[in-house]
Amino acid sequence: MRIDKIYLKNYRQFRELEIDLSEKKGYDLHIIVGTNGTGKTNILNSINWCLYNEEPHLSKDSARLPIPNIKTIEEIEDGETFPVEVEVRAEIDPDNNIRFIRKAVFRKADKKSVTQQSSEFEVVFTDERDNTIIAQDDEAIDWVERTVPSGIREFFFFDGERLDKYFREATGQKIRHAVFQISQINLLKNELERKIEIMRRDLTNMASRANPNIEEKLKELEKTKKIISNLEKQIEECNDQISIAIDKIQEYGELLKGIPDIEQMEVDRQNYKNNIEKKNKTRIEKESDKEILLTGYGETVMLWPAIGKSLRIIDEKKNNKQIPPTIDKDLLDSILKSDKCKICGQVLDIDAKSYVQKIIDDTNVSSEVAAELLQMGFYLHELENGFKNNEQKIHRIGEEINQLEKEINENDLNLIEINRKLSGYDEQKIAELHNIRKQFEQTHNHNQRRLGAFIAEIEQRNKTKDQLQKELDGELRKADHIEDLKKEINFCAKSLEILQNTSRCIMEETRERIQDRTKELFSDLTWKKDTFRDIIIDEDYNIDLIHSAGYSFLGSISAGESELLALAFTLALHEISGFDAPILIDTPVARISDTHRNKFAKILSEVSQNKQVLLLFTPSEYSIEVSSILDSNYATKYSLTLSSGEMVANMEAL
Amino acid sequence: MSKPDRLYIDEKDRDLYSKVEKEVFSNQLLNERKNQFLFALSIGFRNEIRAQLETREGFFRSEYLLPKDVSLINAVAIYATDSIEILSNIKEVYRIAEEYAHGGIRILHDEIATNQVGSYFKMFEKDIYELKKSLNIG
Repeated sequence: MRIDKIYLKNYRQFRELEIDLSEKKGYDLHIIVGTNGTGKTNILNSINWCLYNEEPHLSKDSARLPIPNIKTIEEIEDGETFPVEVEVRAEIDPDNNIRFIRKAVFRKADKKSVTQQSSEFEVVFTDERDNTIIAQDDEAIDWVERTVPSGIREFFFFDGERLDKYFREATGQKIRHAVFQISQINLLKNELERKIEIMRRDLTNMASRANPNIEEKLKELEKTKKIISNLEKQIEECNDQISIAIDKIQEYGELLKGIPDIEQMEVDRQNYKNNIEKKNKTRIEKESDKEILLTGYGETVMLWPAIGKSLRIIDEKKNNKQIPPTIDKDLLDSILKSDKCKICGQVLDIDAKSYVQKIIDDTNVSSEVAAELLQMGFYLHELENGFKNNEQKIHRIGEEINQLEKEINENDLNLIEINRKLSGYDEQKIAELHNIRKQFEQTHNHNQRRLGAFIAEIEQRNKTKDQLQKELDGELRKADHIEDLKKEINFCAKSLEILQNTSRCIMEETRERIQDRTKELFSDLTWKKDTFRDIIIDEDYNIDLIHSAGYSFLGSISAGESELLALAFTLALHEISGFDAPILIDTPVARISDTHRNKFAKILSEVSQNKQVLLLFTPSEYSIEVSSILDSNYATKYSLTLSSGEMVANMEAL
Repeated sequence: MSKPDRLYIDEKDRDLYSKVEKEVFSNQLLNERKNQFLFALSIGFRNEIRAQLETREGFFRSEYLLPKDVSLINAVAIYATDSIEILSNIKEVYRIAEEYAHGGIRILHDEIATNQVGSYFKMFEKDIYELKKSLNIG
């Protein structure tokens, strides 16, 4: 299939526009160049809306707006209705065209709101007898599924911004599903297998009437099959949930990209606050300790002249043996007053009196003063000795305070930085987004655990089923009188076995063909041929790229190589599936480095020789180097601009 | 001679002691009156300001003085009188201390009034290191 025309009426930026892609010129390459906001991505969305009634690539700005064109809404009166329409005209083969048309009627409620009144989808085609057929509703959807199935649409319509993450998003699960659909195994599974299974069950039921044991085994077998069927449904449900959760985790991850992790920052902020509070408390305690030490130290310094002088006197007196006093001056005074020796009781004569008086005169320090001086000497020396020690303590505490102040400052700066980062953000909204992502992470983990349990159980049940089937077959063999029935049942069983083996073979063969073709295409396309050895798509449909040195290197390839691998895989998928759909890439080289852009442009140009390729570029992407390659090959090239107050997009053929 | 049972400040100084309390006497050591008195005494001595008390008012009991405190008060008295005999007159020793403390608390009050709040001990520390250097101690 290739798209001939896209007609848009009142759809988003497009008032009325027809994009003609019918021309080929050897290269089926079509280029649309437009700045951001002119509606490039909405061309991709319009196709999705038309075919699947979804707009998976909406920008944040577009998502806030209704589907109808804003200018149209402005111009009509309140209460009036107007249509929105997108038509994709495609060519299934040169003689066979098909038109997919989605129309919706909107009503303008007031200046700010519109409501959708009705919607219809139809597919118009010509049958073998040249009759024009209009398929509607489910029939129309069937036609879409036959031409561009919704389940594998992401292998046709790309957002280039996400192409480098293609294999991170396209999980084994999704690829398995794609391979399952393109290999048409669902026809075998849903139609033949199911019908033969019903036939066998009916025949076995008939046989069970002849033998109660058969009936019993059959009941057990049916019960087990029912359990297995339920388990399969639950496994499918788990896989769906896991797939949705992965998408959502990715989606919220994108939304939160570059936005601070509020929850973590709140924890950090609280930690910084606690640290500041704790350190401030310690600093205040230290400052108080320092003040106490400084007070004592300061007193000693301030009183140092007095302390020094007293110590000098005391030391001098000690040296002169004046203290401690050898003579008790008070005792001598008392002897002199009483004229009698207090020791021997002898009365003092004049000579003795004058001798005692002389001793008193020579003894100038009283015992009371001497005792005081001695005590002073002890304490003042203690102060002198402790002086140096206190000074060191003050310095040490001072350093500790400085360190604490430094740490408080650092914490303060961190706090300021967090507040700066958070300023301008809606913290509640971001916390909510983080919370939603966390919930999806929990859903993902929960379903992974459930899946593991279901897989283990289904394995066990399958063994039981096989055993019961053998027992049932044994009972059937014993029943000689129902030979014809037995033959028919056996025929059904063998048919089922063949069908199941065929399904497996087709799946395996498709997987191998896709793997081999991806390898061939990537090998042709890649500019690093020497580093690449192999591509492996394993049984779980996980894709791996093998380096020439033998190790896996999918995770370490550049954005350009990743896009190239995605392109190779997609082309292989298209080829093997037989779904010859176009490739539409929005911003194809956005994430590719300058040096690889030219190569990628060349490759896309080559691809367009065999397949319709529609590329939506921004002017900066469509650089001189890129245009020098594509300008000589394109079939059509359009420029998108905005006018009418930036509400209507215009397209001009270049 | 009986030992005075308390040390005195000038009646007018009580208000000054209260005023400098928050800025200077807020730490654990200086919230005791005895230590506030000794600090004021040191300031007065360092600035050589000694003023007679006009109206005496008891400030704290002399029994709270530790031997180390007594040693410092004695040293001040010896320095002021240039005689160790002053030690035999404890009343006079206390009087000298009271006069220095009277001068000191006024200086302290003036310093607090003219400096930024919260900066006293920073200024004091600087001043003490300079004094230590000029006295060539240690």
